[in-house]
Amino acid sequence: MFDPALLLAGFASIFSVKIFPFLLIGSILGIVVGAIPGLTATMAIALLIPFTFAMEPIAGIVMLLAIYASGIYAGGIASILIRTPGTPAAAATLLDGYPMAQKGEAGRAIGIATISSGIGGLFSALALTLFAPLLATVALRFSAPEYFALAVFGLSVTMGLSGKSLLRGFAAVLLGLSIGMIGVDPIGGFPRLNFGFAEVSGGFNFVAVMIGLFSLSEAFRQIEQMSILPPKPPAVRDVLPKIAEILGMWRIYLRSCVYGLVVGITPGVGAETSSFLSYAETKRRDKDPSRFGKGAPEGVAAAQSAENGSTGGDLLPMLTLGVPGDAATAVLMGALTIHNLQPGPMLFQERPDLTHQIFAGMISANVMFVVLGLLGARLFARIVQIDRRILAPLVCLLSLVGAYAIDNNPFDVWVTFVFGVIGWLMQRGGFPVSPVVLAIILGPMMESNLRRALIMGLGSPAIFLQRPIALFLLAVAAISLFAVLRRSRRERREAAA
Amino acid sequence: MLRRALAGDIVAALVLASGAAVILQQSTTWPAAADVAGNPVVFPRMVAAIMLAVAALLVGLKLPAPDPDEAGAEGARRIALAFLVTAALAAGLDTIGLVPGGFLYVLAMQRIAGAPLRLAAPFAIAAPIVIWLAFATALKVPLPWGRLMPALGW
Repeated sequence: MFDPALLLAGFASIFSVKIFPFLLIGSILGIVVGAIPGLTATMAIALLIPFTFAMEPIAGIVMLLAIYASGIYAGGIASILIRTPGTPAAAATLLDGYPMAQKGEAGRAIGIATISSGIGGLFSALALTLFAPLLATVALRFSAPEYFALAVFGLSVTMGLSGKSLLRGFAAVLLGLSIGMIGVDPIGGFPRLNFGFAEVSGGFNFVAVMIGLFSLSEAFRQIEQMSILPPKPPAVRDVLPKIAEILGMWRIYLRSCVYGLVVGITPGVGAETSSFLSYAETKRRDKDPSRFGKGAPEGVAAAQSAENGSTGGDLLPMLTLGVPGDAATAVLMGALTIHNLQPGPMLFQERPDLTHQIFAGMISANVMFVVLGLLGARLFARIVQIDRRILAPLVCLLSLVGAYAIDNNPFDVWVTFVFGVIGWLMQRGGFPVSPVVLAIILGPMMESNLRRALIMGLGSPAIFLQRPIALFLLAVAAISLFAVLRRSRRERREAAA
Repeated sequence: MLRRALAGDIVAALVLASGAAVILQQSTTWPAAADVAGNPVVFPRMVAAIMLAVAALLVGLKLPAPDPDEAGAEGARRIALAFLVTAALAAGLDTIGLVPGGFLYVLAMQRIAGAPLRLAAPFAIAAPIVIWLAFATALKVPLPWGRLMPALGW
């Protein structure tokens, strides 16, 4: 259960000399990475995991959480200044943020974006703090059929929403599932699909795979498309927004925070979905929707607060059930497991101190990026102009060095390189990368729970029909796939017409 | 446009079909279980069957092409060189070491990306040293020193 005393103790440890510098470093890194188009929070988290090995687990985790929260926020800076989303989630901010900058209100737009992200992030972090222990208690009653259904649900939503084609998303999931099978049988423990290679006797190193898919592949793409350099951003002044203006948007914030949280909790979708949903709803409900797209501050507020509003929701299923909400939380989950912390309900039973430190870290990270974002807006605005011809090769080097640092093993450098090439090929072919990573994580969980469920059902798959939660989750998975299929057919018909 | 989409999808279909064939063949060598519930081949064979079905659909459905590639021949040249240089570093990192290997790698990659030498050189020199100092020295994360540096008396 939620324990206020443990939360206070969590804050005390976060603000101790041992951990606070990492919160600060993570927040700055997150803003820098988020503000540079092409670099994402997921990429930064994957890159820095190997370097948290030597840290105290909570220090490393707090640093990664800070990168996550501030990276999602800072994507809006590039959207506002140079009409290029710093992260995919910030595309909705562009719609009104850039027109505001064109009207000479770049500082005001960044100020509103910063405060809005802070409100959304804080709301979702508080929701995480209150609901995660509750969900973990409920999840203790989950058994193999529910976990299998949950994994199916997560993968079905991911494959449907992470790309333009459901079939290509499905292919990505299957690739991830087959990669997840390499190594050992999850129940019998016998070797399989490793063809006698000792290096993959335990499967591919997950962090090396993630660095390859998320960091190296993106850097390769940047190098390939290097001809387009970012334009000069406009001047940034008067960043601090008026309190009355912020208070006047309370309805938008409330709605966006709820949207963000609900979308975040849904496995497989994240900030990019919530920001567009919230933006569209705010526009629809406005007295004069024609203002939107021409520099309406409400558009920036809705998009940014929903974006960060989803971060706590994304963490919720990952921490309580071991099912990541999106690619970034899948990478964060990898970071936790590397520190021998297995996300799931048992983590709340065995390490309540640590889970409350994570809550305190998430709340602090959301306050930290607001302070840094407002104080350093002019400085961060210059970051969007960083020369990618210099930056992308540095990301490549960090990716390879990070892979080596995992186990001091040159083989992991090859794994990162090969998966970097695979990720680059997938992106070129229109195949989403995130489902691969989610499937690698969820595959072994799916397999072991399917087999346990079949044992419970004496070999009959009817066990899934007899368990209401499992049945509900499988039904929702089927409905969501059906909905995506219908939507893509309609879009194809409209495009043909 | 359609031809490019098909090429990518055909490659993906081939990868899926080959993977499925390997899983199906290998699963015949796995220990047999007493009943279907504990059978270790159930899930892998189920996934392999779906992989074959999706592979067939990828070839048969002719999906719309992804967003057009704007990098052109110059982009293809850059990426081929980037792969080559990265593979060279992966092969030589343990031997050459991070500092000299990182310098050569970053310099080569920045030149491939089109950065002028006067801009690339300082970053190429500084980056591996900063990474070494930050991680190997400060955070005590072991990084490859290589055999070249000791041979030079470092």
